[in-house]
Parts: sequence; structure tokens; C-alpha cells
Amino acid sequence: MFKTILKIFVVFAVLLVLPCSYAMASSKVDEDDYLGVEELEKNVPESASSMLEGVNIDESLDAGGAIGNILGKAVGQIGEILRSTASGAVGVLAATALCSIASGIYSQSSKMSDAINLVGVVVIAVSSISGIDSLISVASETINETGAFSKILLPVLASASAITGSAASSAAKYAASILFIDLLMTIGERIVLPLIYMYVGVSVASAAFGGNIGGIAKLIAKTVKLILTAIAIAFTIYLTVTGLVASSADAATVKVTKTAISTFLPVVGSLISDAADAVASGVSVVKSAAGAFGVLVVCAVCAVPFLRLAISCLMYRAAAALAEPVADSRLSGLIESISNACGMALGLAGTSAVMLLISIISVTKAVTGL
Amino acid sequence: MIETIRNWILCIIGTTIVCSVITALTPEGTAKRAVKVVCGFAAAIAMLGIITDFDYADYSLYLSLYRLEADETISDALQKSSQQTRFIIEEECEAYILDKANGLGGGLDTVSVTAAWSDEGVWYPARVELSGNMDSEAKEQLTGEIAAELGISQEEQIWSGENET
Repeated sequence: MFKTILKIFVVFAVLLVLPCSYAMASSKVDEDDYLGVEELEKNVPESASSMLEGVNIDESLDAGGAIGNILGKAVGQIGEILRSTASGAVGVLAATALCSIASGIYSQSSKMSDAINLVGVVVIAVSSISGIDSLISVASETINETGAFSKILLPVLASASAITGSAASSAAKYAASILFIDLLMTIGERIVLPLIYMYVGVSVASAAFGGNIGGIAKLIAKTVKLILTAIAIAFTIYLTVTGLVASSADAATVKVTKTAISTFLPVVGSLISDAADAVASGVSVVKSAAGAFGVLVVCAVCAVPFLRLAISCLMYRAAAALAEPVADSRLSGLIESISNACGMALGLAGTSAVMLLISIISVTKAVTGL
Repeated sequence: MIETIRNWILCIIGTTIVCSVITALTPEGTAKRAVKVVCGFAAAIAMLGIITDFDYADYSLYLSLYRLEADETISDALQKSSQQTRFIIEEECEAYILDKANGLGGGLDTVSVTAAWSDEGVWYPARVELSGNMDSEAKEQLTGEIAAELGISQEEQIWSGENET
């Protein structure tokens, strides 16, 4: 699970740099905002608006500075996150330690050991259930916010891309992105999150009663991982293939239009061509600025939730590692299962964010210009 | 479609849980082996059930709706961009005509160019309304230059003012 978290952060960091380095070249926007850029600025999710104070889609947009600001504010909340998650992990560790001591005292009676183990499981479950619930709610909220924002951002980017000569590919990519983001949101809410709760429940039952129930928990964990992986891979392949197929049509269309202007309208052709270039160049700048803004919003929405989920996951993993040498394997296994549940929630939120970032990069990538 | 996928996943998990419980309760021996074989078939049927239950027409409709939404958004943006291009062309033509008129001695007060959509899929200047006090020679020259360089025929050049033709 730790490797998965690390992979998500590496991918996130790489995707963060790419569109922002592309967008930082120019930030001037067209005066006529018929692409819906104002609507985009007004609909920034609440959780991100405090991190993006003073950031607008205009010539003053400083993507690098904004990212630094977001990271700074997120890091500033680490202390509070550590305090809240550490209390849960320490409580769990304390319960495990007490059970270990009690088991040591009554080691000669297996029934007593089982009863102590059962009490330990109940205490761990009760003390961590509210924490798990709030973490899963954080993941759910993150998915909903990124999904809702994507429905406003992607039409702006797709429209801008269409105007700059990528009508076919931007329509195809926009449709694919919205389809898969909707699919992820729906599957996340209706399948993955219930499965995570089920995983925690089955893990508690397995720790309490033993037997083959632990295999079911593993199956659920693998199912969640498989669902997220399948959606991410299907999305990437679908987006790539539709983009490749549609972009060849765009290139042909642009070439034909240029030939018609220069051949049939030789004198006024330059005026028409200049007008088309003026619109395309203005919209191109809007596209890059809106794309950079979209990336900043995704970062702002996801920064604190990711930190919270990752720190919780690591805290419970550390607690499981500390409990393993001294406590019953079922108790340390239960704590590790709680860590895995946090990891699954992080994976779900991470998949949503990465898919949106890939969509932004894919839709804003220009094929050819007029 | 989502409901179908959801039911399929829950069916697999439910089947696995029930099979695990039954296998755990069955005593060791031939009976347990038989139960495991039956549970294996049940799990396989649950996994393959998606092939028969999946509504391909619904899936196709689901995809089409998203494509329709995308096409409508793009079409709307292209239309607005086309209008923007039209305005720029009209403004550029007006500036060009005023510049030409100043070169011929001035006297042109206002110019209003109207663009039209051509068969080649571009806007072109189709009609111009002019008003001012140009002398007839300059007006004739300007009319000729507008027709030759902007492609606006004499019939589509509407003059108003003191020396109206």
C-alpha cells in the first residue's frame, strides 16, 4: 500500500509540472469571454478557494507562485493532521499493548486469551471507526468536487481546443473524459466506498472470530484495486485511441481551410486569415491559462485530503508495525487493515485527480493551429 | 449500465462469502471436496454472468449521450468563434476602406461593412454602407477599389449623404 501511495504522488508531481510549464509562457486572455472563463472562476470548489485567493485567469496568473502557495498552505496544516491522526493511532496502540499485557497474565487459559483478543478487537474497531468514516467522507468529497469542477472546466478547454483547430479530437476527448469521470464518480460512490466499509467490517470479523473470513477481506481489497486500475487503464487507452483517430481528421480539415482561403480569395484572403489567426491566438492563450488554472484548482482541492489520507495510512501502518512484535497477530492485522482502508480511499481520490489532470493535458494539447 | 456493473460485483462478492461460509461449515472429507467443486462453479457463473446480463443497447446509448453533449458544446463554441471572426473581418474592412478614403482626400464619415457566409465556409465582406461628403471622382475611385480589392460589387455599396448616387 505504501508503494501505491508513493506511485500516486510521483505521477501527481509529474503531471503537475507538465501543464504548468506549458501554461507559464503566456497568460493574456481574450476580452470577449464567450468560452465561459468567468463561470469557471466563480465555480471553484469551496475547499480550494481559500488556497487560490487572488488567482484569476488573466495576465497576472503566476502558476508557479500559486503552486508554491498551495503547497505552503497544505504543509501548514500538517501539524493539525498529525495531531488528529496520531491520537487515533496511539489509542489503538495503547489498546493493543493492554491486551498484550492481559494475554500475558492469563496466558495459560486459551479461552481467556480469546476473550481478551475479542475485547481488543472491539476497542480498536470502536475507537477507529469514526476516524475511518471521516477519512472515507474526505475521499468522497474530493471525488465529488473534482467531478463537479470537471464538468465546468472541460467544456471550456474543449471549446478552446475546437476553435484552435482541434474540433474533432477535442469533442472526442471531452466526451471520453466526462464519461470516465462520471463512471468513476458513480462507481466510487456506489461500489468502491461500500466495498471499503465492507472490507473494514470483514477485517473486524476476521480479527474477532478468525477462520477463513480473512480471505474475503483480501478479495475485497483486490477487487477495489482491480476496479480502480481497470478504470484508469481503460480511460487512458480510450482517450489515447480516440484522440489519435480524431486528430487525423483535424489536421486534414485545417489544411483544406488554409488552401481555400489563399486560392479563392487572394486579396481579401489576408484579412480573413488575419481575423482567424487573431481569434485562434487569443483563444489559444485562454486555453493555456484555463488549463493552468484547472490544474491549480485540482491541486488545491486534493492537497489537504491527500495529506490527511496518506498520513493516516502511514500512522496506522506504523502502529501495526509497532504492535506486531508484542500483540496477537489478529490485532496487528486489524490495524494494518485499517491502514489498507485508508490507502484504498486515497487510491480512489488519487485516481479521480489523476484522471482529471490527464484530461486537462489531453484536451489542451494542440494538434495544429490556423 | 452502472447498476448492472454494481450488481455483478456484489454478486461475485456475495457468492464468495456464501461459498466461504458453506465450505467452513462442511466437515472434512468427500462432502467438502464436492462442496468446493460446486462453489467453484457458482463463482465462475457469477463472474461470467456479466456477459449475458450486460445490456449492449443501453451501453451504446450511454456512450452516445456523452458524445451528443460534447458535440453540442463544441458546436456552440465554434458558432460563437465564427461570430467573433465575422466581427473582426467587418472591422478590418471598415478600417481598410476609411484608410483608402483618407488616401483619396478624405470626406468619408462612416462605414459599415456586413459580412456574409460563403460556400467555402468563411466569412467575406458582402455589403457596405458609406456616408460622407466625397467628391464624385474620389467616390468613383473608392467604389472601384472596394469592388476590386474587397470583392464588394457596386450594387452592394450603399452611399448616403449629400452626394448620394
